[in-house]
Order: sequence, then structure tokens, then C-alpha cells
Amino acid sequence: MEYNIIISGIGGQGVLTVARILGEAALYSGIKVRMSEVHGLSQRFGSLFAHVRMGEQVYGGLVPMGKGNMLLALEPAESLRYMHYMKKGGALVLNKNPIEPPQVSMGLFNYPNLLKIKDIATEKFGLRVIEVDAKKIAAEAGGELAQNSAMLGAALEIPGFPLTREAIVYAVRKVISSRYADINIKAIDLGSEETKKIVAAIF
Amino acid sequence: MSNALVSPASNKALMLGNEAIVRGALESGLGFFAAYPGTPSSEILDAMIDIAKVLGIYAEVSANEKVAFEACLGASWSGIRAMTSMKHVGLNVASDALMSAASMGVRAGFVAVVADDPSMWSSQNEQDTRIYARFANVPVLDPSTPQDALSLTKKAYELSEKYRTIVILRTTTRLSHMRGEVETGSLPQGYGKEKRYIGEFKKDPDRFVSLPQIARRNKLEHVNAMRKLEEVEGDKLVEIEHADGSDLGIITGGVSYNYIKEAETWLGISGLRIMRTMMSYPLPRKPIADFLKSVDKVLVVEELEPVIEEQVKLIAFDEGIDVEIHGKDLVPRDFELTPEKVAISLSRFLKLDPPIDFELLERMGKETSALAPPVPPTLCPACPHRSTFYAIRKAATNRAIFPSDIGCYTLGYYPPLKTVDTCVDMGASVSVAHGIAVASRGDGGKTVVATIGDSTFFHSGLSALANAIANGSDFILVVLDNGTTAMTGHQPNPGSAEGNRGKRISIEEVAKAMGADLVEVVDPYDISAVVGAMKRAMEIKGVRVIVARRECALKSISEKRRKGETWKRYAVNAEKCTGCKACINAFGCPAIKWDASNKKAYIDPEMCWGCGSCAQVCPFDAIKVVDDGV
Repeated sequence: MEYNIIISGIGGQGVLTVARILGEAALYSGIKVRMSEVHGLSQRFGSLFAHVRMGEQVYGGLVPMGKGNMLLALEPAESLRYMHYMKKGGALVLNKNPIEPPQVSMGLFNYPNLLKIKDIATEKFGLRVIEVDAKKIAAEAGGELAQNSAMLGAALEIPGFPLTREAIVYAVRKVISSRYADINIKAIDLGSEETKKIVAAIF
Repeated sequence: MSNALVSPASNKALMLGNEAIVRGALESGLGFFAAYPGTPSSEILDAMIDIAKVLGIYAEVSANEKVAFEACLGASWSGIRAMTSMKHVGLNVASDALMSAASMGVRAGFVAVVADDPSMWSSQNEQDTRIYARFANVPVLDPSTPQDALSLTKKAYELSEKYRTIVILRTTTRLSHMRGEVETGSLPQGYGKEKRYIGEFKKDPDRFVSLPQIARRNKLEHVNAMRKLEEVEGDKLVEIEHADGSDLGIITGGVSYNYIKEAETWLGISGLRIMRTMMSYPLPRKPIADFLKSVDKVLVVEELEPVIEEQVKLIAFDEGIDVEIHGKDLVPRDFELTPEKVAISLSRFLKLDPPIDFELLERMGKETSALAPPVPPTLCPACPHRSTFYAIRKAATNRAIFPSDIGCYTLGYYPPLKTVDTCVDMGASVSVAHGIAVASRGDGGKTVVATIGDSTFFHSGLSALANAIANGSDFILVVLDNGTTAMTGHQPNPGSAEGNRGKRISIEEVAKAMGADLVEVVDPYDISAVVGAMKRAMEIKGVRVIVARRECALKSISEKRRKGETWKRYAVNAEKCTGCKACINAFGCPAIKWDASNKKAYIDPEMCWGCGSCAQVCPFDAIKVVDDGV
């Protein structure tokens, strides 16, 4: 087994926390794991990514181009930078809520249309897109900061994803402060629930 | 702090490469740690500071890398095992100490961790520390995985004491920030029960005073020790896979080894002879020579400079070995290696088809990425630097010249602030400003306004300021004092209110004592006050120092979040907003967005950290507090 995940987003969204949860869940499950994180300058509201790789044949922390199984995009436009790292048939789990960067507010750049992003993912890269309204789910669970857990819940529903709910919940309790753990676990379950139907339709 | 780092017994945990190094040092009996932070090395320092409280080691955030290095030297000479860590450019600062101390040697083990940043993810240049090791003639170990980082840290202490030499442990971003499972060993007895840094300096001036006649003897002794180290330890620092495999060989080290292993599976090949060397200088001569004799063709796979390759070629030449050697003709020299780059190099070496059409994928990737709006890192909402930069531009206009420095505030380069015209190395803002002030006087007499952070000021700005004042220079220096070393994760510096063992040093008192022609302290959140100070400074000549002091917003908001506290939030009154975009196009806080349909600005309440600067920027008084945070 080899399973490669790229998490993309903007500094401050919790890209590294999501990676950390996946890593701890893998360790808990006895799966060999290697992760690559970006620290430092990019964490200041810039484009940010993390790689999580699981499996016996995995050595380094970087997902080889064209060998990714899942792109977990916490911000829609940020998914565009990593689609070519995915395999044909791989999953794009897409948080549909954009964060408008300053260059767009300044009128220097247009934010791409969500439909176009999904179109590129399916048509150009042959990815299966699972759109998640993580903001809505998180609000329902009790806090906007739980958006990433909604995304993890969605990931749990993707066929072939090697981690179980139990492992993810264990890792959430380990990584996230106890004050927010319950909200996040609720968001995971709501994320799973909302995703089931979409997954059944496209996989 | 992870429990796995301080647990006395062995355990298994997910660790960053940097954390594995920390654990390796503790398992080796570390007592003294000193460092200045720098990505990708900072987590080592952060962990050591936390650990010091529970395990009784000494750990400090030093003013700069040279100071840290020399403090470790003093500790080692007092019989205490020492470690420093730094980013690659930190070694430039510490190199004066390294070059001289190399031949004087150590008493207790001293390991200098140096983290290179191939591809410059968070750095101003790309340099290969292994060249420094060769330059100083000290051994450099090059781990491949977090597990390896732990065991090679222990090996580094062993070598350091056995051969009385400083050892460099070199990591790269991809190892320092790679997380993987690590099985630790146990800690030596006594941690947590007693102070681990009580040693004794035994005088030995015939070794520790580098007068020429002593330096000559030290040098020869060190050269001999290094020769012996290479001969005795060399074969324990290489690993060979498929020793009886094909007549094609790979020599590699560091993270590149991982990419070779993955390329093997990817290309569907087996039986390739692979030699991994854990010491890239001095390269183990006999094992390399034997390996070269066993193959017809060899490819050296390493990141950045051809350090291993050149030594391999030298060995082949000296020993008269008839072997075809490839390296940087097939492996990229610039930027970090990736699994796909190495797979391409290997397929070219083996004359195989690459496993996938990389060129096509890369082209598709470029086309697609181009549709995503650029999101460079930016100053945080409520960042005091933004308000200061805005006020500087308002007072000095964009005709002024803005030398700046290394820190979060280098981001003032980006629009709309554009208040950073130069950035070279730590402290250069002050000295470059001095040079410009002298040499560009003919250029219409533009005002020179330099900016430097508080941590950078103490790191390397002090001597530059003394120089400028003593030479009668003419510029304004604004010290962006947020009380912390923000970009690397909020470590204290000598000007910080908290986190130091000793006394806090006042930047304004230092400037006054040096004889600056004007010294003022202002609050960046009061924009008109900063503009006022700037205007007063611009009316006179000389070296004028303005300290813009306000706590780092990210630090302050993180603390509030941790404590469950709330804060003020501002909003745009849509009726008053004329859509002039001053808040976006001149100030540029990431919390302020543009509603294109209504042509009005609005503030994302989740991102507003409540500084209120935008309310002062708005010419139509349209921004007000909507939630006072209580």
C-alpha cells in the first residue's frame, strides 16, 4: 500500500494541524508515515502545503509528481497549484469557501470561478471532486475553526483512504486542545455524513 | 513539548527531524544549548528551551549565531556537552569562530547543527554547509530520515569526543521538517534530578590561546586527528545495499537517498548497488575506493553542490580506478531535489524511459497554477509593522530610499506598502543605509529611511549603528520593535520584556548612549504619532532613531485565544464608504476585502484582530468598532 495526500491552503488555515492529525492517526494505526511541512515565512498568510505519505514503500516526505491519491484543498484556488501531483482518478476534496487574497482585493488578479476549478480537476487531470461546504458544517458543529475537521470527515468517506474514524478521532484528541476537541469530532462526523451521498454518486 | 522528547525510557513517536536531533542530543548527555533561531532550524531551539525547565539542562536564545557558537565552545571546554543550531546563513555569522576553533578542538562533545534550505523556502540564499565543513576541516554528518537524525546526533557526540573535534550535523529543510516515526533510546541517569551543566574549566592556555606558535601545533594535531577519524570510522559511516548486484552503482547521502529508493520501485529496477554515506566530509576513502572498483559506472546523487562527487573523483584519480563517474551532469545542482527529479536523473543514467511524462505534467501544472491568484506571505492583520510602514511612506513619500532587513517586515516589499528597497543579510539595513546616505547625496538629496526589527538590531545592527554614528552618517533608522523574534516562532531577544534570564536592554537607551542625533519612541497603532516623529526626524540631519514599539499582533492574539479572551473588531459602515479603496490600495490589511458587486470595502470579522489602524487610514471615517470585545 502507498497512499499520498497533499494538503493545500493558506497560512493560518491549519494546514499543518491537518497534516499532524493524519500523521498521528497513521502512527496509531501502525502504518509507516512520512510527512513534509513548510514552516517559517509562508505561514504568514501565504500559500502553504503539507505532504502526508503512508505505506511500506515510502521513504521521503515529498509526494512524487503524478503519484498523489488525495488533494485536500482547504481553499479552492490553492488546489490549482497541486493538481498535477495527483494520479488520474485521484480525489480532490475541496472546501468550497474561498479566502480572497489581497492581490484580488487590490484588483490585481481575478479569483477563479469555482466551477472552472472543478472543471479543470475533472477534465484536465481526471480527478474526482468532492465538494465540501466546510464553513457551513463547522458552524453547525459549533465553531468556524473546525472547518478542517469537516474536511477530514469528508476524506474518511473516500474509497481507499487508509485511516479509520477511530484513528482520526484519537489523533484529534491528541493534537487539538481538549477545549475544542468535541466540536472538531462533531465536525468530522457531519463532514462524513454530508459526503457519503456525493461519494456514492462518483466512485 | 512532546512527551517523547523528555521521557526517560525509550519510546516510539512521530517526530520532526529537528525533534529527533534534540532527543539524540539528550540521549548523548547534553548539558548546554545556545542558539539563535532561523528556519528551518528553529524547532530545535524551541524544544531545548522547553526541555531545560524539566530536565535541568541550560538552554538560551543567544543574540546571534556567533555568540551561541562561542558560548558552546566555552561550555565544551568546561567539560559540558554542548550543542548549537542555526540555519545555513547563521554559519556565515559563526564562521569566524568555527574556522579558528576547528583546530583548537573540544573537551566535552560539541555538535553544531546547521540546517540548509535548498530552494530557499525561507531564506535569502542557497548555500551548502558541507563546503564549510571541508573549508574548516571538520567532519559533517548528513542524515536521511528522522530516525537517522537521532542516531547520527549520537554518533556526532561520539566522534567529537573521541577525536576532540567540533562536528557539524547538517540537515536540510526536507529533513528538519520531515515528520516520521522514531524509536528513541533511553536517557542517561540523572536528567531532571540535577543541573546538567556543572563542569569545570581546566586551564590549558597552550591549546586555547590561538597565538601563532600554538595555532601551528594545533593545526597539525587536528589534521592528524581528522585523518585518523576518516581511516578508523569511515567504514562504519557507509551502508551498501546489494553489494553483489549489477555493475552499476549509486553513491548518495542525506535526503537524496530516500528519492533513490523510491525511484527504484518507480522505475521497476532492482539490484542496483547503492552506497549511502552518512559522512559527506571527509568522505570515507577506502570504502569508496572499494565500491568504485566493484562497478563500471557510478552516479553520485546529492542535493546542491557536488561535494561528494568531487571527493569521489579525487579518490578514483588517486587510486587509479577505471570507472565512469556521473553526478551533476545528470542531477540538478540548483534547488532542492524531489522524487521526480531523481527518478529522471536515474532513468537517464540507466538509459531507461522515465516512469511518467514529467515534462507534460510540469507544463500542465504551470498552466493550472497560473490561474490561482498569487498568495505571497503577508504581514498579519493588526501587524504593527504595517502601520509603521504606512506612516513612514506617508511622512517620507515614496521618493525616500528604504533599506530594510531580515524578518517578517521584509514583507513590506510587497504592494501596497513597498517600503523595502534592499534586504541583504542580518543587520545590513543600517550599514547599507549608511553607504547610500554617503554615496547617493548627489541624487537630489533623498531621505534614507532604514527599517530593522528588534531581534535583528541586537543580532547585527549594534556595530553598524555605532559605525554610522561615529562616521557622521545621515539617515533615519526605524526600529520595528515588536518585542520578539516573530518570524521564527516568537523567541525572545535582549530587548524582550519576557523570556530572558537577565536584564532587558532598552533600544532607545542604547541609541542615546551611542549618540544618535534624535531618539523617539512611538506606538505604531497611533499613525499620526509615527508620522509626527518622522517629520521631526526629517527636519534635522544626522543619525536619527525612531523606535516603533508594539507587541507582535500574532503573539498577542495567540495568547488571547489560548486564554479564551476576546478582542475589539472593526467594520466598514457601507453608507459612509465611498469605495475609494485607500484601506486596500494604500494600507493592505488582509482582513479588509473588496465587495465587487457593491463597490465597497468590508472587513472579515474572523480576520480582524482589532488594531484600529484602518480606521485612521480611512479618509471618510467609515471604519468603526462594532464589537468592543467585552
